[in-house]
Amino acid sequence: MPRTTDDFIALLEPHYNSAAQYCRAIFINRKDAEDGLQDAVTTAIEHFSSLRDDSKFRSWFFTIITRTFYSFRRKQAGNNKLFMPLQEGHHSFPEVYNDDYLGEREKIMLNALDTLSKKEKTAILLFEIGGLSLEDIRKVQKEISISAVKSRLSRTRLKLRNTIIEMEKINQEQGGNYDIKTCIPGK
Amino acid sequence: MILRLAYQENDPENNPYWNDMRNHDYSKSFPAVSNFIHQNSTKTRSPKRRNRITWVVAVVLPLLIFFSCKQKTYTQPQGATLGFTAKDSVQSTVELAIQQFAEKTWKVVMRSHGGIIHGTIYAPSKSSGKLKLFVEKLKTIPGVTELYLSVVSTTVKESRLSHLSYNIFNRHIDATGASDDQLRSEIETKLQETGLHNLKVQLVEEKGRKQVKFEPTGKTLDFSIDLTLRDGSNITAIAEKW
Repeated sequence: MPRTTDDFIALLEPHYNSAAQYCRAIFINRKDAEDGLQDAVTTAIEHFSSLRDDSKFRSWFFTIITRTFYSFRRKQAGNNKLFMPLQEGHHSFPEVYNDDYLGEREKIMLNALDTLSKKEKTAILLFEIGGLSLEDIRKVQKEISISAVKSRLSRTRLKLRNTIIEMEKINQEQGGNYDIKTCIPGK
Repeated sequence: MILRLAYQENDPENNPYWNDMRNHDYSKSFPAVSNFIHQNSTKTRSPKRRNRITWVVAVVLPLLIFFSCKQKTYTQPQGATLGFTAKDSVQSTVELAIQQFAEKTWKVVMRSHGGIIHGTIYAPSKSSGKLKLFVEKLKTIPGVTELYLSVVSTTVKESRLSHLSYNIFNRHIDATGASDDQLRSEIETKLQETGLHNLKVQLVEEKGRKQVKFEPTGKTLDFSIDLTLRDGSNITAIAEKW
């Protein structure tokens, strides 16, 4: 029986909040995150018929977001048009991150994430925000063994820790007025 | 020294930061997103359409390749030969008619034997219309006793792709009966049409064969030309742009 848009929405709903958090953290910039989420949702609808097992929806959708991010980075490096424009007559995507006021720790974490490589960033975010298993992350990152994912996570955690300590120090020195570039509205 | 990091299931040191990120609530935007999905679900490329594209690639494309590579045999008309016999008395009338209709490309042979003229005329396919008019004219001459018109054609066997590319890329020059100067200027014109500028054409006669030489007079495109001319025969010069 062919599956409908309502089936897709019903499957998306429980995972939507984490998907939006993942997009926000992975793309850093709120506008890019919105475009990325829109692109991932559009791709997911198009490929919905290829999802055989509904219980795999979460890892399937997070994989789509991750691929969208990789493609975004590739296109950004090639200075191409970043996201596919909506066809004429498409309704515009809602402003998911419009009133997105981040807490101090969120700002620091986003800035620390920005210092990571794309593989490190996706691995740690898929684990911490996406809640994906090590096996799922291995598949997304096309690694041969789980131990490669484990060591990447450990390395990334240490890197993040060191960056965060550094940032906290600067923050304290500047009396809490640390201007975090990722949090400038409209960026 | 290589420091091995032990993997831990959780990240206690960074956890407060992760928790803040995990607690950020974006769920209030879900109704708007689901509305967007509803409104745009019909406008995105449907799997059916993708299936159609897959079908085109998987079935139609190989068929197209097979069809274009398949050899095709066809008959290409080259011209027509007209044979006629007439009484000696109408020779001047027939000659006048020939002068009136004949083109440069026609080959006319006439001989007289026992009061009867035997004539053979070959006309290439380009002037077949004129040859038909000439036949009608001969029919009106009372002394003309016999007329035979036969079409000369060749059988060509080649792939459809080759036929198509030949039609697209080749430039033909009919050099029959042309003087060296005419031939040179015609070749130069065709080369320029093809985009090959800055080429000087020279016609050199060597051991009964006429050779065409090209001398670049400046920067020009890469090209390949197959051009061998024999005196006295129908000549086709081919210039190909690559």
